[in-house]
Amino acid sequence: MVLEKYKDILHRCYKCQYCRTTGPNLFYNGCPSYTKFRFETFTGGGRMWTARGVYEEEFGFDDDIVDILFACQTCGNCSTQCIYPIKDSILRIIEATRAEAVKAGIKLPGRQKDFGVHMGKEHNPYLEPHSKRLDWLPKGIILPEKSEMVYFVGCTSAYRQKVLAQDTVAVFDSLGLDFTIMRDEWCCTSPLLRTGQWETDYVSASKIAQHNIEEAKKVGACKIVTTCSGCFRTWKKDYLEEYDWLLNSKHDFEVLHTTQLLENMIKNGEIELKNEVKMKVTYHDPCHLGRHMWVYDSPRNILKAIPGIELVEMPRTRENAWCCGSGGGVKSGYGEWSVETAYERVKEAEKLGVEAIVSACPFCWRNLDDAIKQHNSKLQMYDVIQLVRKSMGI
Amino acid sequence: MSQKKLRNPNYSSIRKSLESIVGKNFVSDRSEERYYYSSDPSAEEPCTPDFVVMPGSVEEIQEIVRLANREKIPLTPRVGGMTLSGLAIPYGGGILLDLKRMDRIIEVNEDSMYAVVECGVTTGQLKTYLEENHPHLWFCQPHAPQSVGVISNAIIYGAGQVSLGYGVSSDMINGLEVVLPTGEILRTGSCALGKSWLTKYCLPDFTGLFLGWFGATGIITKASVQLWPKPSIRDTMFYKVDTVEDTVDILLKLTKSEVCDDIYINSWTGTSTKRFYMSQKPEGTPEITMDIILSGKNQEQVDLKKRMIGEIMEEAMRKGVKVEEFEPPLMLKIAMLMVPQPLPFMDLMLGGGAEYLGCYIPTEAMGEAYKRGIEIAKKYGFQYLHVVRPFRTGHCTGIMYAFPFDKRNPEVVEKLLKVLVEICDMAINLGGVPWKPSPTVQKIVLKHADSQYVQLMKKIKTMLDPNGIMAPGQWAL
Repeated sequence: MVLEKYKDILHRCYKCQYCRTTGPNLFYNGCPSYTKFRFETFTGGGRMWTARGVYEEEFGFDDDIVDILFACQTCGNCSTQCIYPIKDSILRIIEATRAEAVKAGIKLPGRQKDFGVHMGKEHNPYLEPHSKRLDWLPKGIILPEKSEMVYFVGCTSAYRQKVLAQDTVAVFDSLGLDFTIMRDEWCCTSPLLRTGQWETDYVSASKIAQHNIEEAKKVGACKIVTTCSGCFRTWKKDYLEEYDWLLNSKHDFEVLHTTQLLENMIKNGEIELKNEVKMKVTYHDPCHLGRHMWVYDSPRNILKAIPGIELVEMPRTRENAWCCGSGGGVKSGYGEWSVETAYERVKEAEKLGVEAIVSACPFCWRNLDDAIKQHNSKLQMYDVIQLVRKSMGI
Repeated sequence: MSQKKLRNPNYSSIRKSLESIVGKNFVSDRSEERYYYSSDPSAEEPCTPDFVVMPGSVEEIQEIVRLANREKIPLTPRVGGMTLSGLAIPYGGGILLDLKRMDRIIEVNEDSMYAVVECGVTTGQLKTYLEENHPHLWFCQPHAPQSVGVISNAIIYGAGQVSLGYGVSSDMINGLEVVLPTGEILRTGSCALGKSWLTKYCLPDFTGLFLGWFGATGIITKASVQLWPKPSIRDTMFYKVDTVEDTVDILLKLTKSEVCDDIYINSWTGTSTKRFYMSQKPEGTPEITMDIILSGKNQEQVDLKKRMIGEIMEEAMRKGVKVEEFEPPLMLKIAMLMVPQPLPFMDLMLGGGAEYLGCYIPTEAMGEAYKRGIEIAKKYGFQYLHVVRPFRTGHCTGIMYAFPFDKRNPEVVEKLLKVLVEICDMAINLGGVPWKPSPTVQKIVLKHADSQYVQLMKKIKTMLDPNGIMAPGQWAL
């Protein structure tokens, strides 16, 4: 049992419920799952107790447990706000319990199993053929076969928010960066790790991770750059620290998020942001970039460097940011609630009187944009890279 | 520790009735919820509810109470469940009422300074609301997690950041709305006369029928709690004092000087997690650290208060007392002023258990209660961790005995229960009263209590709750 790894931790949640609000001074709802379902079992601590109940055989895996385990974006508000040393284990315990549930043959919510099965065959969770993965690449852009820097596109930009991949490549190209993409890029494995579909009879997360690492080596990569916060977390944290024991995925690549790369270049005077982008915006911290990886300032510093941008903050910001609602398998498992969660963020932004929400993750982009459209909000949705491109005038 | 897993024989029909009252989404009989809500970190034995129910209105609570009376099933109300003394464990099974959906802040009166809140409003929620909408006011916010209920804290005589000046939060209730154990609604204080939640003055006061009863006499659904002017400038002073005897002398002077907003006296074991693991006090370590919070309308007033505190300390030093001012890390100072911080002691033994037995004692008996607490803890092999806070200009002082422990070890739990019983006995003999006593400690309190007092408690309980459905296990008379 994977939960065995956490036997010295499982009993140490004291039910103090820091995990469900923001903090440390102002206490807003911070946990989308608790805000929706309201029983304390739907908090980080509640899920620790559920894991403990499973481990101590108080109950097993039946239909009752599905929502408690899977209706959670694993946004990390709980692990950020918890004041005890167990905080760093909360998300891993939730994911480990999900893995146990999958192993026990539980019925996964919504389309989670569908994407898992599809990933085993076509290496993406969007039920798209692998053969179309490079369709986003604009004609006329010719990238070298080999380069020390690889732009890891990720499934969302490759199949859904293609414009973000196109903008990234256009910006990199215009800056004269020597980079390429992996012609046989597979999903980073984040959707599998987050939903407990680690090693099943239909998909193997380790096989996929190892494939990506081998591909990166083949093109001679030293540096991996991602625009997707989920891919960033997976390459930098899961492959190297949290799941290397499962994925056998240690590597030596330097991993950067696009915002980190561009922030450095702006600091060094290597980017000319010449065009004014006159717009009042707010920045939404992606969980996988912010709380999971502590990258809060890079995207903000880029926005501040763009002439004309007025950046204002939402009440729940940085480590207290309200999740966009799509992570942890929730977009595929609980589609309606996922957008409902995003709409709460949209309303928070609307109250500021901004024209746009800016984020740094195609998955957040997609869900926030879904909420904007479903609710006829006047807000526009941007990724940092889109505004950089606008300001560069390319 | 074994759990009592009860199942009411009419379980299916009760479930249907509950669903028709609050809606399907707010009734659970899932094993996971029943397990979670069965326990708290205290040494008290868990007990599993049949149902966890989240009502959304007073009318829904009334209907649930009527159902419970018809079916003769227990009802245990709960908000944060953070008493660390088993006060929200659903003894007898039945229905655990999680009241957090009733979370409206109904009114804030700026001029008469009170807030009317529903039972599910948490201290974190009220603090945030006041900071955003009435930044010149604050309330008796406890040094506890923000999930603690405002009303829950008030009905257990919880202390907060204004307690040295104005008393504990139970002193600050203007009136209550209560669903009685038979389903009727009672209002106490001026709201019994009409719409005003101004005060409980001048009328026969029924508020006390619900304070300190831990839910055994009804479910409080609304309360008017007093607010206070929030000081413009706040500051801190920190001292180390060599002995607890010297600390008592200093404390008596500080409280009567009326210059401090709050005083925390911590045993050396409680000042940092690292020190706690030492079984012996390192040589030269003072027994006590004293954290003082003060405030003023301007810097001049703050400086004057600091000088007055300094003079009290200098006077003590002239008499040979070893006392020394020190500067803690800046982050600690900021945290103390920003929001009341609970002592993060619970995980010190990595064991999932934490008790926090308090006793409200005469201020002059603090030294004795402190030392006897050490003796009792040592007798059973526990490290001690004491926190002391005076209330209401020193009219009484709370001494809290904190015990993180390994809840998985039945021998440890058994020993700890003995410790709690002995401390309770000791505190009562020193003229004190146990604070938020667990059911185990309640038995000792009742043993000490005057027989007429106990008889009246029984009469009140029987009169209000003829079927004995409310919070069984609390004050089991």
